[in-house]
Amino acid sequence: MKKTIFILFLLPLFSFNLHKIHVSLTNIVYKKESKTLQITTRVFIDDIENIINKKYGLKLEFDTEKETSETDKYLKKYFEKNLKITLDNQEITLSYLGKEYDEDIVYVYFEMENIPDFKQIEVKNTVLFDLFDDQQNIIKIKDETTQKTFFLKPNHFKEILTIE
Amino acid sequence: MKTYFSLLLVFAFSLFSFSQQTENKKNDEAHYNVNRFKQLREEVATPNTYHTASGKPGKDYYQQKVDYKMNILLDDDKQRIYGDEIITYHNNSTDDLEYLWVQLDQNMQAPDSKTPDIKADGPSVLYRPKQFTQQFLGKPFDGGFKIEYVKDINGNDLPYVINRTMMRIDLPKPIKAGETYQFKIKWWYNIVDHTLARKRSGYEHFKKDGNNAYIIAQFYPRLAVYNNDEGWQNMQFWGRGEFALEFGDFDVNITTPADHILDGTGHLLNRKEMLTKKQWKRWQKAITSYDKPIVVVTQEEAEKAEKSKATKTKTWKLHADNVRDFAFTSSRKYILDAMGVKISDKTVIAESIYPKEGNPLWGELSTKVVKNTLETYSKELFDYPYHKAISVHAKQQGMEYPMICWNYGRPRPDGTYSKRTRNGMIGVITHEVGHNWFPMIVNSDERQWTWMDEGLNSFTEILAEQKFEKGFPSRGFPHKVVDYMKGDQSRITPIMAQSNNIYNFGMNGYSKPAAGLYMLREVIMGHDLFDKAFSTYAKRWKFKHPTPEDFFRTMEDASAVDLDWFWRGWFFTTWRVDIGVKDVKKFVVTTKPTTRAKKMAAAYGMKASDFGPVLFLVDTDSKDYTPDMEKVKNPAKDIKILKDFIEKNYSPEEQKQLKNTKYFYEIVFEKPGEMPMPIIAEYTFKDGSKLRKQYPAQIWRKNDREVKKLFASDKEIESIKIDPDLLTADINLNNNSWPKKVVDSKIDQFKKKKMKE
Repeated sequence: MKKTIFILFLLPLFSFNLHKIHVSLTNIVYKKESKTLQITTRVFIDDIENIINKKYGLKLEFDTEKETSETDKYLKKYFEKNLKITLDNQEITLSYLGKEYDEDIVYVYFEMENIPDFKQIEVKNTVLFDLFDDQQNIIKIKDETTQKTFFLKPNHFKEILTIE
Repeated sequence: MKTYFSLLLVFAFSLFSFSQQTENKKNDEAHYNVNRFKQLREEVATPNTYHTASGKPGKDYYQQKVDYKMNILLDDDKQRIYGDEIITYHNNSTDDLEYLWVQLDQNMQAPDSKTPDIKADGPSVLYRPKQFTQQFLGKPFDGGFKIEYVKDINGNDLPYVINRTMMRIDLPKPIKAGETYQFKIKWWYNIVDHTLARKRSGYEHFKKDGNNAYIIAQFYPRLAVYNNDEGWQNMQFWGRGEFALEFGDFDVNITTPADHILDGTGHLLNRKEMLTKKQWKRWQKAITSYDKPIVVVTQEEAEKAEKSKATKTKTWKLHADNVRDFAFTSSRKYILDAMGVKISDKTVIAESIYPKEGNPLWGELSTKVVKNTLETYSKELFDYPYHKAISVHAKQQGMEYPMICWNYGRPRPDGTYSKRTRNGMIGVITHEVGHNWFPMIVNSDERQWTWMDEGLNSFTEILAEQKFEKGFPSRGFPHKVVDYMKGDQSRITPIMAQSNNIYNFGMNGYSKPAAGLYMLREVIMGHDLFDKAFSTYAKRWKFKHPTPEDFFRTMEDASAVDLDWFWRGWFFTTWRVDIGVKDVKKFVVTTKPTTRAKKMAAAYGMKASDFGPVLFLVDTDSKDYTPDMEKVKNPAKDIKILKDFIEKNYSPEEQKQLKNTKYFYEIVFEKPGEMPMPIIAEYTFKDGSKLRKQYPAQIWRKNDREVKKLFASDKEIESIKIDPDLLTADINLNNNSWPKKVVDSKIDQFKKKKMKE
């Protein structure tokens, strides 16, 4: 059984390195009125396809005519393992809404309802850390009163935000 | 009548001062001139006779010339390069030089390199055994130049000092202004596996057939630039900020295994001897094939060559004139195809070199993309002056050299490929071949300014890609930099920052400047003025070293469009664009004096009735408004003084020509964002028709946050949309519509879509 080899990339140095930036963006929005927590994560399709296939030993194709519903299934599975949201010391279960492709990016959507107002939110995001040691996951948390951004990396993969 | 008229003039002037007084009450802090439209003087270098005020090279402009004669040996067994060179340095400056600085880029990979030392991120997530051993247990990769000698032309040793990637040669006596000096260097170094070390050159090892493909660059000690802007450009090569290089002529002999296929910068003088008879015939055909590429070294021949390793060697001879660098590629795995491209009355050869792992994608597309790039860039800037452009297939690469570049785009082992791989490949080939213009020929200092070549190239790349395939997912469109620009300010650097210090390198050096140029072309200057100015800049600095000022000045010089506000905002700051419609007020026409008019009359000790026959515009939300004013449906017909005036002064035919203006609005545009931009307004009328109106950026000159426009029309406004084509990188679209339309978040849009299904 041939073991697949991960190739770890150092920060790419090329003249054309646009695509090689290892960054994801996760927007977390809390709507107090409707008690809804919405999460949107943007990642590069190539990267997420790569890690999911490697991790689960598959050959899934994202955003081609050959795509099956298995992509949703494993996307959900991978995110459940790598994106953990804890509100006031209570970890919430992510509810996968779906995904959308936009050129080389995929938007992954989660929406949780009946979420009471909280004082503290802890975000642990290790998406793609098992593929790139220079992966940066940007987290933006927003509710009516607060807006905060922080950056998570392999050696700093969770952060707590206290909302007054 | 006359007295009334002159009184009216007096009132008109006094009205200005009257309104200014009320505004100045708020702000009592003394200040510098912080107007966003002030001319760029403090931020840019003073014009001089090297780089003039118009953006042209001046009468005292000089540049050095450096020629190289090299013998290179590519050792396939040890993955090494051995070389010796004679360097001829032409000191065309007006200064005597006591030392010369020579760049030793391979030293960035030497065991004692400081590049790993400046990484500030702590331990890696995991280590492969090879990495772990190299980094912690034993010997790191033995990279870096091993210098065997540095001698003068007579064989005497020259004293030298190596400061990591820079070597200073201390000359026995200075090279006087105008003099030429020759010296020799002998060296060798270990070639790195570029797919693991992620460098711009090296080899890739193919396990299946046991062969290497070499992409060789930065392989020789070469001179640093000496000019009047930097003195010696001897900033260390840390790995990020790229290269500053002089023009010169190269004569390079490269010895490789006898079964290799090689090509590089310059004319391959002995190509006929190096190819078989059949291959040479195909080459002759290919370079005059203008409609499609012709394969010169076939996949069959390449696969045969892969099966054994020649023990004999052969020596390739290349000669290049007026290039700033030299690079080459070599492997026994290579397939080669080419075609001829007509650029004005000359033929340029478009060539692609790739192992079978690049097929079918490379055989299908690479040379065609090279051709398209040559044609579109030549049209936009200036005719490609060299005789050939090569695209070389290399894993995960994207790097440029004169006449040759490395590009990624590998299909899966079964030959299939995703849309993304295909589009990525088209993009990278276009981009890298495009670099021949910026910086290979318009030779800016990449060590200092990444954007001058990357930004300008990324913009021109959009034009080439859209020509290749309309609707191609090009980067660099203004709306694509919005997320970056509205991000955390502590992670954003202005474009005008030293290459090694910028956050988010790709966005900062490539996309944001490209988006800026796109806005200049589409919105601020228009195609004709932009294209003429852009190509003027390129032509002025062809085969020279421009500075940012030369670019900024030339774009204005050739167009008469004032751009200082734009350069300051887009390049020197991180100002963001946010323009919207704040309010729309309806006005009616009346002869009843308004409160404002009465106040003005009182200020002059007069009464409103002293104005004579005048008209007033009344805000329907104001106290002056009375419902009976709505009776005026058409002022030209319903207001007596106006009707009388028209009938008295216009003939019946002329009256027919007059517009039927009935609707008056005061539109308040707001600019919460710092960056001035033209206001692109699209008015939709109740009858369904639309009108586009663009107000120049100068509208914000004296009112940085809010402006009011009186809009008079014969049709009633239904809605207004600001920047409907998303051309201004507006970071907030929630104020772009009137009546106000809040743009749904992506997730809410997705939910709505799903509910419809």
